[in-house]
Amino acid sequence: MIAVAGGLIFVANALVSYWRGAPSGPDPWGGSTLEWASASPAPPWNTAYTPVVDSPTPLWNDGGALQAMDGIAIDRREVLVTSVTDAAPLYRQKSAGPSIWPLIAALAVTAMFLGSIFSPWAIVAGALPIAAALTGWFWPSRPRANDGPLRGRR
Amino acid sequence: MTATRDIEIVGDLSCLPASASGARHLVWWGNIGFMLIEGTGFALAAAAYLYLMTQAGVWPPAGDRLPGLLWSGIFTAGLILSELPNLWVLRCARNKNVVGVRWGVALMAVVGLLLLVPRGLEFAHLGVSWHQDGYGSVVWLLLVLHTTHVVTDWGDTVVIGAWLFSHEVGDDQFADVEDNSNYWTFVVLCWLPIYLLVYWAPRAI
Repeated sequence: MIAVAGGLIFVANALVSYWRGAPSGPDPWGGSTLEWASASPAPPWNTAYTPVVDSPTPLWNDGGALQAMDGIAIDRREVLVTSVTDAAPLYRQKSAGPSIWPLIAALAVTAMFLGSIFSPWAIVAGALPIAAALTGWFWPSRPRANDGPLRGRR
Repeated sequence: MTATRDIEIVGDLSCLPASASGARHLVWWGNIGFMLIEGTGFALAAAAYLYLMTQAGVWPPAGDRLPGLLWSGIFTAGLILSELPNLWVLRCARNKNVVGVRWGVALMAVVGLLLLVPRGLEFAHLGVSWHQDGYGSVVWLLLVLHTTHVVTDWGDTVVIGAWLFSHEVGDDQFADVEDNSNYWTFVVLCWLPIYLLVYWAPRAI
């Protein structure tokens, strides 16, 4: 009874807030941590720049500007890799873009395991589409070689 | 309600390198993690073998022949020798030697293919079928598990090798070759205890 009442109050509060409440903005409570530096609703990139953090409460800096670094690519996906303890920037790691191949690889793996219930040879036969899907997934996007026996045509 | 914070730019990351090699590279650690996962698989399979061995009165069980030593010995010797070109490829990758990694990876693809011949004959001379008894199952499990690693790393080597010839070779490719080379070393090292277990443990007791 009490649990249900508590649940109903929670739902009622959510509905009333949704219909009649004022928008809270990105940082209604003066939060201490980085998620409160993002816009509301948060965009996929969270913050446009890479924040520089030197305390557990980076947003409690007496209202000063949030220190950040620029230079992470916006034309392709990449993430910043830092040292483990000091978090000193080391290099920019390329991130994979959207691709259909992971889905195809997952379906091929599913087919192989389903087949393996009925015959061990399904593992051998099923490995081929998996290998093909993985090869498609990792197909190079870099330019063709300009030397060596398999160089690209000029 | 508080407005979104002002941003003060204090540095530029665009001058950082776009790749790294060795333990600085994220993918290098991914490779180590993969070795841990696969190594656990080998350890579990070996534990299953040892468990069955302790539970059986006679090992291998009566009626099963001992596994043949000729082709397994040739495979093991070849696998150990393959570390010579493999470590040379690793050095080429670290020195960013384009011609070296191209032909070295191609050589490793040939070596991997050659090794599959004695490995195939090993299966033919195991002396037991995989569904004969628990001994047969666990011996085949160990050998199939290791063969899977040889075959997948061989496939990986072939694909990487083809792309090294057909496409530009940059720092990321040298890191790929390094990871592939390290993984082959893992496949070699994992085989040694399994070889002792499959071929010499039944002869030692």
